[in-house]
Amino acid sequence: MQDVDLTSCDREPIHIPGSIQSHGFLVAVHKDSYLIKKVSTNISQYIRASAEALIDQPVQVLDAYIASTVPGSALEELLNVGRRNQSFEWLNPQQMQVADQEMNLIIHASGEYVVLEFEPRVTWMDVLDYQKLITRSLQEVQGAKTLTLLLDRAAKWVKSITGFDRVMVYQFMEDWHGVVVAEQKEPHLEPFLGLHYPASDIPKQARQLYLRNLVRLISDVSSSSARLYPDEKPGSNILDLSDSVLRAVSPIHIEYLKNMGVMASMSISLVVKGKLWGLIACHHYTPRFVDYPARNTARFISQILSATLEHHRDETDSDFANQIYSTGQQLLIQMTKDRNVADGLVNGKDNILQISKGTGAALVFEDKVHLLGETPSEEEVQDLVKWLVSIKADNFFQTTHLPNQFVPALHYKDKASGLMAICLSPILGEYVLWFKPEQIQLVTWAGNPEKSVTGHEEDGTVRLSPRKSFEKWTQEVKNSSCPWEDIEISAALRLREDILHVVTQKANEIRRLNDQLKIAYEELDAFSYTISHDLRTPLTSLKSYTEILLEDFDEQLDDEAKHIIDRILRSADRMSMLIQNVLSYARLSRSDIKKQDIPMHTVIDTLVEDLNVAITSHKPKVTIGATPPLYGDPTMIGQIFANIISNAYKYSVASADPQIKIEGTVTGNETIYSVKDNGMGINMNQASKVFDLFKRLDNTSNIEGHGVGMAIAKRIVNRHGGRIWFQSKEGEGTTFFVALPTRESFESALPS
Amino acid sequence: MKKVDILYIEDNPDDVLFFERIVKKIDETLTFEVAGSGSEAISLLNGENTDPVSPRLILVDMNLPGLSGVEIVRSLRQNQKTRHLPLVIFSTSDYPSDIKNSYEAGATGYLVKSSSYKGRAQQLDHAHKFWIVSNQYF
Repeated sequence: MQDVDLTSCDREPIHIPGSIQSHGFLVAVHKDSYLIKKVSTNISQYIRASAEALIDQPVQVLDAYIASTVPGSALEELLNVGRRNQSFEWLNPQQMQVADQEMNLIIHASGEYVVLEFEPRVTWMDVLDYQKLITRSLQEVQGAKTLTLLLDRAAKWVKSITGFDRVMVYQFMEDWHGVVVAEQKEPHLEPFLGLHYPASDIPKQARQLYLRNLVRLISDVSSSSARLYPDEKPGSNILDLSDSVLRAVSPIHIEYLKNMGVMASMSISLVVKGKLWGLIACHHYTPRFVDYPARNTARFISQILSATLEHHRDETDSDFANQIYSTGQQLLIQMTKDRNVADGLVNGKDNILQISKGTGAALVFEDKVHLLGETPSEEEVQDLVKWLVSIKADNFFQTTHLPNQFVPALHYKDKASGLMAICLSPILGEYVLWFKPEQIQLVTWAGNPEKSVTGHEEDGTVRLSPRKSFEKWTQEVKNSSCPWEDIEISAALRLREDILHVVTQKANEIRRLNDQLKIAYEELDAFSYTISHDLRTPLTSLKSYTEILLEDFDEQLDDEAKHIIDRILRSADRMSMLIQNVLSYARLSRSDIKKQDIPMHTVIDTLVEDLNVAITSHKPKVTIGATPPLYGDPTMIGQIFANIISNAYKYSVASADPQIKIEGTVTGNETIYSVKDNGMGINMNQASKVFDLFKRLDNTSNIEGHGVGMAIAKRIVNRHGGRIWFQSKEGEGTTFFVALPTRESFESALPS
Repeated sequence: MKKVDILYIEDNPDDVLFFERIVKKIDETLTFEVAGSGSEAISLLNGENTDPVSPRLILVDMNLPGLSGVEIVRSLRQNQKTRHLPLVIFSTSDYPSDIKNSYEAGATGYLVKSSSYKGRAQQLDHAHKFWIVSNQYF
């Protein structure tokens, strides 16, 4: 058996049925010769002539039976007028007297034919009434504040103009299945409002015809159609009835309507932005004919409705849009204010949660996850972001059924069945996410959508048949959320632009500051150099002259003069040292650190030996404990220990039994060295000043120093990512500690 | 040709005075010429106005009016007459970049001027012993 799928219906050639509905008749003439080429066989029910007899006769032969109610509007003249204007549209309808019947003539061109269609004229309302109706309906329809009200009113007016039992507004969804979104009906009828119809109920080529002919009437489902004469054969000049008002109905559609119990139907297309938005579908449960003027009025209303739909926005929507807009503005201000993007988005007066109707939001930015409202956990959000990166959602992403696309989301579908995401950086995995909870929806179908088409085997062929059952069939839709509305999406996209803008600005600002800093550093270098040269040179001269005085004019100077000269020399020395220290402190910030394992025992031994040589009296007893290696720049680390150990010497020599203990231990990620003396100690009130530049403590005036050593030590330690601190008690001694990261911890912290 | 032991390129009169005192103490017979700038030194060496000066050692200060010490070294190294001469920078600068640049320009040595008179006397004494007494020149 051949497969019958939904697209089988799509192939039925409904625009060339070769027959018409029998409530009127059709004559097609050649567009140039006006010779009659096709005639519907039911013509003999209206005039005393047969289809066969009329073929290839000039159109004038019809004048014997058909006359215009307006003088001078014979068929030939109408054809001429239409031809000159290249359109027949504006002539329609022409009131004609056909034998003893009043009929409307509707003319249109189709290929090489001009088609004349005659249908009954039903004068149940005059032109003035239609105009009043249109004016009133226009006011009402355009005054509607909500979409529901708008559609309801349109349905109401179409119902009062056409008199159908049931008038529905049927809206097409994304997948072309339809939903009844408004309904006006006779009270005894069962409501169809809210029912869903599968896409196959209105197949593709039918939808195309709805775009072309805005109004389609099927006046009597039970009457048989009238064939065209001569028979339409494939390959011959088949008459395309796409624009015909009488075009016969597909037998499948007739069967469909019959199954539904409908005897007459009319559809008016709603076209929004060139796309078939929906239909105004009218059903009648007995045969019903609506004449051309009434159909035109209904069409007019549908066009007004279409135009209104194009511009319509619910007022409730516009309130929300205003709120979203001002939140967006506020977020931009918050982000720009202190240039802290994350803070501005989540911690301010307004936050990202407020620009959507979502119940949760997350910001994944600069290696941090910020959660707001009802959200999955931090780890779950991180996994979700990884998934977004993997599916290349590098701009915008939204779904209303996340668990169906990303299975782990099943665990938190109560919080995030709906996901909207904007990507800030796919490489860094930076996103803003909004969540909507699961909304279990009950979708009521007019019949089981999976049984909308059935196939029958008859004589070995497959024949399509529409479904017979329209019993309500309710489907539970799980794992899905309310949809993301257009305004939420546009607000999210706008926010993305704003964030990227601020981030770029921020980066530019940092780059600018960095450039300034570089310039400042270069200036500082030049300055240091100038100081070193320009200050030292005269100082050196001063010193040298003083030395010359002492050396070469020794005999001419008395003791007091010599003493004064000696003081000059010492001051010059002191100033020279100061300059030297300032320079080395300044250079520290720029010098490259060349890290390696430093054999601390050697370093400490050498330092202690040097200090012992320099000290003439009362050498302290130095104990050296364990000396694990330090990982750092050997010159700089040497400087730290020179400063600390020489301080220990300086401040303990006055003690009765000066003792210094130096040892190192490895604890966790750090190697910690301590240098303990039993010297004068430091008043802890002054503790904070120990590492300040040029700061000397109260009781140290008689001890040589410049207030630079510990500042340098601290700077070096900081540049190594370590810590320096001390413990002290006045009169009992001081212990300095230096802690540097071990080689292993330093290397593991490096970005891989 | 005027043969001298040392050509000292230095603009600071104090430094020149210290140099003269120290040199006299080291050896009364030592001869030297002083140039206040690179261009003056070059014209002395080329004998533009007088007999060309031919030193056994050139001491060059770093910071000078006009050409810097490094530029003077570079220029003398390109000159046929002076390219083999011992050129020693004698400067207060201990900047690593100054030292590196000097050697790259072709300096024979680099002495950081001591900040004391005694220290400087010792440095010049060493330089005299090595470059004037011991060194075999071309």
